[in-house]
Parts: sequence; C-alpha cells; structure tokens
Amino acid sequence: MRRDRFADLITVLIAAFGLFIVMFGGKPYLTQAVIWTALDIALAISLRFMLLVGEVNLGIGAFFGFGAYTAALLSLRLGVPTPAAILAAGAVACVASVPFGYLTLRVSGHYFMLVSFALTEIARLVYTKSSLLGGNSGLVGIVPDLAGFPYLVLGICASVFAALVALERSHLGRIFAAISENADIVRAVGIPVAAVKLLCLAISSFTAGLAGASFAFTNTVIAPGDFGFLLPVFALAYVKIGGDGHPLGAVLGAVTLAVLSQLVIGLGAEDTLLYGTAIVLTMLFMPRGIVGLLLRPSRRRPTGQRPT
Amino acid sequence: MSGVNLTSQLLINGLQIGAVYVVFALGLTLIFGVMRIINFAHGEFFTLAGLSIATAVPALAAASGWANWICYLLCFVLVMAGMAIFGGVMFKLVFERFARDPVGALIVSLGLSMLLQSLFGLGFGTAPRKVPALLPGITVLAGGRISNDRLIVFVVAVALTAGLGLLLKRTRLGMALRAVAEDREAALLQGIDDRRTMLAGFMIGGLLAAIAGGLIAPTTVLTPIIGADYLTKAFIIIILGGAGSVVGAILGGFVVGFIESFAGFFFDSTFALMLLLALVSLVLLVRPQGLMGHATR
Amino acid sequence: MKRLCLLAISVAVLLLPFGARADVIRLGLSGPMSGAGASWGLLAEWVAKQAADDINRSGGVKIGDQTYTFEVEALDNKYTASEGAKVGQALINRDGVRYIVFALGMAPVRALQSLSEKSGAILFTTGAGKSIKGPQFPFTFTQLNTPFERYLPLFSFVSKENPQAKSVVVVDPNDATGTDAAAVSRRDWARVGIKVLDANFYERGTTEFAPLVTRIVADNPDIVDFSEMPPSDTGLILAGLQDQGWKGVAVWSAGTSAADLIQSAGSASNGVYMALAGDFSGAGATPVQRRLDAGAVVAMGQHMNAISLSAWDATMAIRAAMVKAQSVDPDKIRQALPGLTFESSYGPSGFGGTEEYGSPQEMLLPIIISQIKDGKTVERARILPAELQNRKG
Repeated sequence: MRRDRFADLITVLIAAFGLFIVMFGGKPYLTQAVIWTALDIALAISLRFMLLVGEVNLGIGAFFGFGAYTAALLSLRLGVPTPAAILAAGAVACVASVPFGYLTLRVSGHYFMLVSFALTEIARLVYTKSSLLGGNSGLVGIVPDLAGFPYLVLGICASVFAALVALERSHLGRIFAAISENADIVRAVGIPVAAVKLLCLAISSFTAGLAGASFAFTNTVIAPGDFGFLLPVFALAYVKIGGDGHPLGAVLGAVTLAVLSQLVIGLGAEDTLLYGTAIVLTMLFMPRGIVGLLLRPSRRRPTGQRPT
Repeated sequence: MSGVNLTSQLLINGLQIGAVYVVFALGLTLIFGVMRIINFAHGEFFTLAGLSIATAVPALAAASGWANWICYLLCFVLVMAGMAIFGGVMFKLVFERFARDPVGALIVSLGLSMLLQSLFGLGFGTAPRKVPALLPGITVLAGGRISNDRLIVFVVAVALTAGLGLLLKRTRLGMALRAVAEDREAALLQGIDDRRTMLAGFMIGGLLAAIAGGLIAPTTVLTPIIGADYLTKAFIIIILGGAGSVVGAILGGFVVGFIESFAGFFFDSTFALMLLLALVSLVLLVRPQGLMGHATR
Repeated sequence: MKRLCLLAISVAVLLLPFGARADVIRLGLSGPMSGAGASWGLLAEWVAKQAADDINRSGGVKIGDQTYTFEVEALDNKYTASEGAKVGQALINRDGVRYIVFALGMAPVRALQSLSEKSGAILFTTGAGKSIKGPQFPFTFTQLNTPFERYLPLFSFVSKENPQAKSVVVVDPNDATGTDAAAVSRRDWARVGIKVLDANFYERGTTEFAPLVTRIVADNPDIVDFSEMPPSDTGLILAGLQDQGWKGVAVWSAGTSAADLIQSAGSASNGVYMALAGDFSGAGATPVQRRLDAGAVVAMGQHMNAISLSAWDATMAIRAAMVKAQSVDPDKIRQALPGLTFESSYGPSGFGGTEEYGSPQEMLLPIIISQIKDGKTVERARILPAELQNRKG
C-alpha cells in the first residue's frame, strides 16, 4: 500500500510539472508537447480501464474517433461552444459503445480483441466514404473558441485520470478485478457480469471520446488516417511499457515514449523502429513495465494475463 | 467485354487471390493451434521472404547470366531455408514465453512487427521491388484469363495445402501438432514434448507465410509494408474459418478471395473490405468459433 | 527518484534552444519518410540538401553585409494529419523554421498550413486544389504542376493523337489527392469531348488488383486514366489489363517514374502517356537535372522524379526572392515571390495562376508530355504555361 501511495505521489508531481511547463514554459512548442502527452495519457488510462475487466479493447480507436468527429461537426456546423462540444462528443462515444458492447462482450478473450479491431477499421473506412465527415480530406478549421484552451485540455485529462483511478479503487473496481480473475465465480455470486463489463466499456468509451474531442481542437485538422489501427496499438504500448499494475504506468508509458520520440526526431524516419524496439524489449525484459521496476509489487498480477 | 466470360473471370480472380491467402492463413492458424496466440508479426515473414527473393533473383541473374526461373528456384530454396531458421530464432527469443498468453503475444508481436518493418525499410530500401515474370503470358481457362505466373502460384498453393494435410494426418509430427492443438494437457500426458512441438508448429507456420511471400514475388510489387494488407485478410480468414482449423483456413481463404473478387468488381475494394469486416463481426457474434472451429474458449 | 531525474533531464533537453544561429537559415521539409511514399520524401530531402549545398558552396546568400547559409531539416509526416501537426509544431515552433521547401500529403500539409500561415512561415507544397492556396493563404505556394495545370494540355494532346478514342475510365487512390484529382479528370475529359464512363477508387496498400482490372475491362473504355496513382499500382493494373485482354490508350497524368512503372508493368508500359515525368537523365533534361538524377541513382538508388525535384525549385525560388527583396523576413519574401523570375531546374520560371486560384501562387513550370516507348521515356511535347510565355516575351 505504501508503494501505491508513492506511485500516486509521483503521478501528481508529474501532472504538476506538466502544468508548470504550460504556465511558465514560454515556448508554444513545449505547451503543445505537454498537451499531446496529456491526451496520450487520457487515451492510455481509458484503455487500461478496460484491462481491469480483462479485455483488450482495440476498438478504443473508433470511440476516440467518434469523439473527434462529433466535436468537430458540432463546432464547425452548429457553432456549439467548445466545452459543450467536447462533453457532447464524450456522450456520443459512450452511447455508441453500448450496442457494440452489448453484442460483443459476450465473446471474450481474443475474440473480443479481434472484433474490436474490426470496429476501428470499419469506422476508419466509413469516414473515408462519408462526405459529411469530409471523406479522405477530413475536417479542417476546428478551432477552440476560448482562450486558455490548453488549460481546459489539461483539466479534462486530469479529471479523466482522477475519475478512472477513483473508480478503480472503489467497490466497482474490486468487482472488475474479480471478473478479470474468474468471471464464473462472480456470476455465481449473482453479479451481472455482462452488465458490469458493459458499464466498464461505456465509461472507458466516454473518456476516450472526451480525449478524441480534445484532440480535434488541439490539432484543428482531423482525417481518417488519424484513427486507424495504430491508435489503439500505441495506447497499448503506453500502458504496457509504463506498466499496467498502477495507473502511474499509463502516465510513465506515454511520457517516456513522448520524450524518446523527441530525442529520435532528428534521426528522421525511424520512430516506428523506436516504438517497436521499446515494446519488444519491455515485453521481454520488463513485463511489468517501468512501474513494475519502481514498485516491485508482490500481489498485483499484470492485468490481462490468463492463468495457463 | 470481347472474348472473356465474365463469370469465369470473376471465379478465376477469386481462386487466384484466395490461393495466396490460404497459404498465408494456414501458417497463422497453425501457430494459433499450437500456441493459442495470434502472431501480429506473421506478415513480416511474408515480407522478408518476398523482399529477399525479389532482391536476390535479379542480382543472381545479373551475376551469373542464368535464366530467370533457374535463379528463382535456387533463391527460393535458399531463402526458405533461411526463413525456417529465422522462425526458429524468433520462437526461441521472443514467442516461446508468450505461449498461451494472447494479450502478451499480441503486444510483443505488434512491437516486433513495427520493428521489423522499419528494419526492412532500412535494409531493403523503400523502393518497390519485383521479380521479373517467370513464365510470361496467360492461359485461358473456361473463357477466363489468368497469367501463367498466377497459375503456377495456384497450383503450388494447392499442392502445399495437400502436403500440409498429409503432414498433419500421417506423420508423427503432424499428430503431435494436432494433439497439442486439441488438448495440451492430454498431449503432455501422452508424452508429447510440447515445447518442441510448438517450435515445430511456429517454424512451419512462419515458413508457410514465407512461401506465400516467395510465390507472389514474380506477380506483384513488394515493399516493406506489404505484409499488413495480407495480415488483415488472414485475421478475417481465421475468424471465419475458425482459428486453429486447417480446413477452416482453406474454406475461409477462398471465401475471402471470392468476396474480394465479386465485391471488388461490382463496387470497389473499400466496400469489399467493409463487407468482409462486417461479415467477420457477424460471425464473431453468432458463431465465434468460426465455421470449422471447436466451441472452446 | 532515478526516473524523475531522467525525466527532468529529458525535458531539459527539450527546453534547450535548438541551435538557432543567426546566420543559418533552416529549410524545412514535411513528407512521408516511412511507409508508402517514403521514396518521394527521402529523395526530396536529398534534393533539398543538394540545393542547400550548392548555394552554400557558391557563397551563400548575401543580404547587405550579412551572409547566410542554408541548412535542411526534414521530418516524417507519415501521411497523417496528426503527424503533420506534430511536424508543423516541431519545425515552426520548436526549431524556428520559417521556410518550408517541400510539403507532401494533403492531410498533413493542411495541419502544417494552419500553423505556418498563423506564424508567417513560407510554405511550398506539392498539394493541389483551391482549398490549399489562394489569397486567404498568403504564405503558401505550390511547387509542382497540379492536375489543374496538367490535365487539359495532356488530355488535348492524347485526344488529338488518338482521334478514335471516345471513352475513358479514371482510376485513383481513395484519399484526398485521389478524389480531388478524379473530379478534375472528369471535368477536363469532358472538355475535350471524351466520355467518362466511370471513376474507380481503391485503398492504398491494396495488392490484389484483379477485381478492379476486371471491372475496368468490363466497361471496355478506349482510354484508362491513371490520374494521380503511384507507379507500382499503375504498373500492376496495366499488366493486369494486358493479361485480361484490354487494348487501348493508357494515360498517367502523375506519371513520375517510368522505371518503376516498367518494373511492374513490363511490356504493358509501352505507349503510356505521362505529364509529370521527365526523363531527367536524357536529352530533354537540363544539365542541372541530369546532375541531380545521376547523383540520386548513386546516393538513393532511384532516379529523379518531378515530385522530389520540386524541392530544388522551391529552394531556388526562395533564394532568388531573398536576394531580390534583400531580406530574410518571410513577409517580404512572400511579397517578392509573385513578381519574381528565377532559375528553376527547368530553366527560367516564375509564379502565376491568378485566374484559377485568385492570386499568383503557382510555380510556372513547363508541362512535359512524354510517352514510354520500348522502356524509354520519350518527350513528346513541352508546353509552357501561357503566363510564363508572356513573361519571356
């Protein structure tokens, strides 16, 4: 428990550091870098939330994308104010996830992984064919209508993070962990496992949608290529490299890869080489991720692993 | 359309596309069968073999002056031997510890895939490569036309599939592979060495992908990222056919080939892909074990 | 604690001012350096470096009594909007780049553009269409003949030479460039009186083209227009068309590399018309282009193509504008560019396109119509844009 508190402290310190950079860093580039990292963290923690029930949701790319396009359309076509657009986008992503989850959470394990992957890909293809969504060209000019937008994004990411961590540590979170360990026993006790999993998906899709909407306003330009299969892959990389034993892992994974990719950017093309190597090395030598090295947890098994 | 029977042409298109998919998907499904994992780097075996052959054959032909098809056969054998070794190394270094851990295997193979694709780009360059046609010209079958090289691919794919079937049914290795795939604990009780069996299964699976890549080298252009498209199709195939099922991979491969052929003709390839993905989703919901799979978890 | 220190060090690295020496001007490039299209991006980077080296060797750019040298920074935009935004931030905000000599890929370029216009950085792009330049984007210029410039002259030429051809099918990749270009194709074929039977789109990354080929053959067009397709896809479809018995005229407006086409199409490549290819090693090429082509073969293992070559022309234009305006202030440069005559790799060139786009931001380059004959690129016609002709007098 002491170790968990220590990790919590580090998380808060990193967040404070990020805020500090945005407030006083001066260079707009640094602010952007912090914002992007914050969005990556929000994405990673959303994905990690579903890992708590033992599901790898590769469809998070689709929900992130739904959030982005919804916010963009609301802002561009209907002039909805930015904060409202972001909130609405999260709601849309959440609502969209319900029928999907209802149909697909019955199949679990690698089948859910595959069908969620299919969802992300189908969504991307549909965007390219839809003229409402700008087709292949996507949408441009998604500009936030309030000053201090970076602070709003930081606030959203921090709230998402805090909320998901709070849920994880609540009674609900304990049910998630129980389902991940042995769903049959949980069912036998009378808890509606499918409904709980669906709730988990809905929450994680809501936060992914918020992140996607913030992403749209941050970049001002979105196109289908941004929401493909690589998005959930990177999110998974952040979680695994940072370590899924503690929420700090999502933060560390995103920050580490962000920093590494900055260092590599001068080398030109090869950040796929970097990411790929980082993922492989982590999985081979540090399966509990960076957090695992820091905390050396005894009880906590990395989520998602099935007993052989 | 002068002189071409449309239906025959569409069927031929489906068969020729399906043939490559089948060989590739067989490898993926075999690995799933013995290790219960999905290897996201499967496409890179395909790419590595294809690029190697596409680089070696013109170089050999230029250096030796031998005929194209002789160089091709020589290089094919050499490259496949190399790929078998590569498969073994990948298993021992990376995949062995993730047997039966689909999430871990997913992540490590994704990372490996990205890593290998970058290395291919650095090593082979990004310019597309192709092996010159082995047997230029076309054959007319029942009013439809197929290029000779594609016909060769089809014939070899059929032979290979039959060979694999024989291997699985008639040899000790094949029976061990099937035993481990069916019930690992029972296989262990029978005295089957599951480590060695998994190694064999992984190597054969990777080799099948490599052969698919080598077969296709004279008929298409190869780039470091070509494996990705085939991998997506292979997922679709093994979901439809049932992960771990050889017959399922064959059926699934040709079903996908035909859908691509017909939907690609009447609409376009984007629509064909969406249709396939929707079909896959449907199968996953209604019969997740696929057409031929067992109802296991 | 170790982790925090490492993190702090890394951030400190980010905070370091990025080597901005006053007399060095950084030229930025945003293009695909990995995956599909990497060969264009990587070669463009090499070309820009050659241009910078050339200028530096001849004494740099003298403005008053200050001499400036050029440096090149190329970043990978991966053909996506989000990477394009990251590249834009890195080039403009992090590294203070104010001149971008090459930007490829509609989605990433638009992301970059929103930043470059706001920050007042000159942006040269290969991007086409009215949505990317005009009076509302005063700092943006294009460096390549776009479909709006190329198609009509090419289609007229082809039509005149093949009067029996009456119908065409257009093929394009399913992305922004492809869909925009297909619209221009439809318009301009109609203008020369040829009927467009169909426009087909395919996903980039497709490897099996047989269904698409059968679809085209079923329409039985006299002409197939490969529009903005990349060389290997074009070649595979051409080879497939030949296999499935189609005979007709092949037009490839964005044809940049005959060598790549011949590799994938073999003998089916005979007779293909192109509007963006130069045989940069042959008699029709200028000495500069031949030198670059030879260098590219040695350094990058590929022949020069018009797209990557445009980085040279953009760099030369910027240099000339700096000399004319006697300033390195992007705002003065963007005012100097429109009226400028400068030495591009093709010869004297300038900027025009006011009629089509509303302001003169299109680099005026000859439209080279060539044809592949027996494995060689043969130049058939060189059409100077009317505006350039008028200026030469």
